[in-house]
Amino acid sequence: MIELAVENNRHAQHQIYSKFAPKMLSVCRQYIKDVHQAEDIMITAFMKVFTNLKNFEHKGSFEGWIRRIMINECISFIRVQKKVKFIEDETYFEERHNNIESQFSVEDIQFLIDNLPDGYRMIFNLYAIEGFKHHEIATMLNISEGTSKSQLSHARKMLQDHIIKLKNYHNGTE
Amino acid sequence: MEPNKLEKQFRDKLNAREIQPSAQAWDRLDAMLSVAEEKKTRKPFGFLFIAAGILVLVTLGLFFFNQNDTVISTPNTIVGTETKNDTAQNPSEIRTTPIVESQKQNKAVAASDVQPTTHNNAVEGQQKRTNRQGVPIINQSPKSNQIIKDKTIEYQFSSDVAIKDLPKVVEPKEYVFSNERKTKSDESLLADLDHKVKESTNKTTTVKVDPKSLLLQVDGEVEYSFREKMLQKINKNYQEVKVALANRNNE
Repeated sequence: MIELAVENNRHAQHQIYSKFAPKMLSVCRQYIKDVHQAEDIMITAFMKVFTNLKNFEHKGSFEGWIRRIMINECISFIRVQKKVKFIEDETYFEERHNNIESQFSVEDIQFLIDNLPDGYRMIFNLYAIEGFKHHEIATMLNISEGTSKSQLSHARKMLQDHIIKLKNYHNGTE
Repeated sequence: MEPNKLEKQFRDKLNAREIQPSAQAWDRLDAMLSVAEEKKTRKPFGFLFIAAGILVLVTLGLFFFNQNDTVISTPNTIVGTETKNDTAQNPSEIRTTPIVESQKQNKAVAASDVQPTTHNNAVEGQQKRTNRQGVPIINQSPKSNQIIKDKTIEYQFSSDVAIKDLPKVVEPKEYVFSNERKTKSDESLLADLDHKVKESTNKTTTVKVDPKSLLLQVDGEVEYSFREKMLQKINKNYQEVKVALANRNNE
C-alpha cells in the first residue's frame, strides 16, 4: 500500500488517509483547540506525509511516523501562529503526590487540556501523552531541558487546580 | 516526575479517541496532491523557460556591449560635427562679403552696360531682404561661385550636412576674398575660379577621413535600427513567454 502511494496512486493514498485521519485529527486536536484549524493542520501534515513517503524507512511503525509528522506540524503551527515563547525559568514545584482516582471522560480530559496555556499544553502533551523525554522536548522546541521541566511542573499544577474545580462543578450539578 | 496514574488515564483515553474529519477534508487534500503532481511534471518545462530567459538576457547583454563599441567610435563623428560648426560659421562671413562685392559689381554693370538701374535697385532691395536671393543675381560672377555659395547656404539650413563636401565649403571663403581683392576682369576671374575649383576638387580627393566617418555613421544608423527591431522582437517574445508563464501559474 505504501509503495503504491509513493507512486502517487490516488486510491492507495486515500486508503492510507482513511485509515489514519481520525486518529491523527485526534492528535492534532490535543494541541489545537479549534477543530477546523486542527483539520487544516492535519491536511497539510498529510501532504507532507505523501510527499515524503519515499523517505520513510520501514523501520518503526508507519503510524508512529505519521504521528510524529502531525505533532511537528502542530508545534510549528503553534510556534508561528501563536508566537509561544517559553520563559526560561528553572523553578519547579515540589511534586505533590496526587491521588486523584476518579475517572474522566475523554471530553473532560480534552476540556482540561484545552484550558492550559499553549506552551503548557504543548509540553504536557509531549511529555505525558506522547511520552517524550525532557531532553527530546528541549531539542524539539529549541528550549533548555530545565525550562521543559519547569513548564511541565507548572502545567501539572494548573491541571490539578482545574481538576479540583471541575470536580466541584460536577458535584455541584449532581 | 514519572507520569502518574491520572496521566496514564489521559494518555490511554486520548490515544483511543478518534475524531472523524469532515468530508471536504479529503477533497482538499486530493486537490493539493494533484497540484503538487502537476508542478512536478511541469518542472522540466519550467527549467526550459528559465533557460530561454537566460538566453534572452545573454543576447540582450551582447547587444548592449556592441552598442557600447559604437559609442566608443563616435568621437570620429563628433569631429565631423565640429567641422560642421566651422562651416556654419564660415557662410556668415561669406554672406557679408558677397553683398559688398555684388554692390560693387552692380555699379560696374551700371557704368559700362547702361542697363536699367531700376533692375539693380530692385536687386538691391532683394539683397537686403535675403542674402541668399541676392547672390545669384550677380550675372558677372562665375557660375561655380554661385553653386558654391548656394551650397554653403544649404549647409546652413539643412541639418544633415554631408561631411564629404566640407572642403568645398571651406574653399569658397578664400576665393571670394581673392575676388574682392583683385576685382580683375571677368575672364581672369573665371580662370582663377576654375583653377581654384580644380584645386579644391583635388583636395577633396586627398581628404579621405571624412567619408569613413560618414560611412561609419550610416553603418551605425543601419545597425541601430536593426538592433532596435531585434530588441522589440525579443521584448515581444519575452512578454509572450511571461504571459504564458503567468497563465500557467494561475491554472
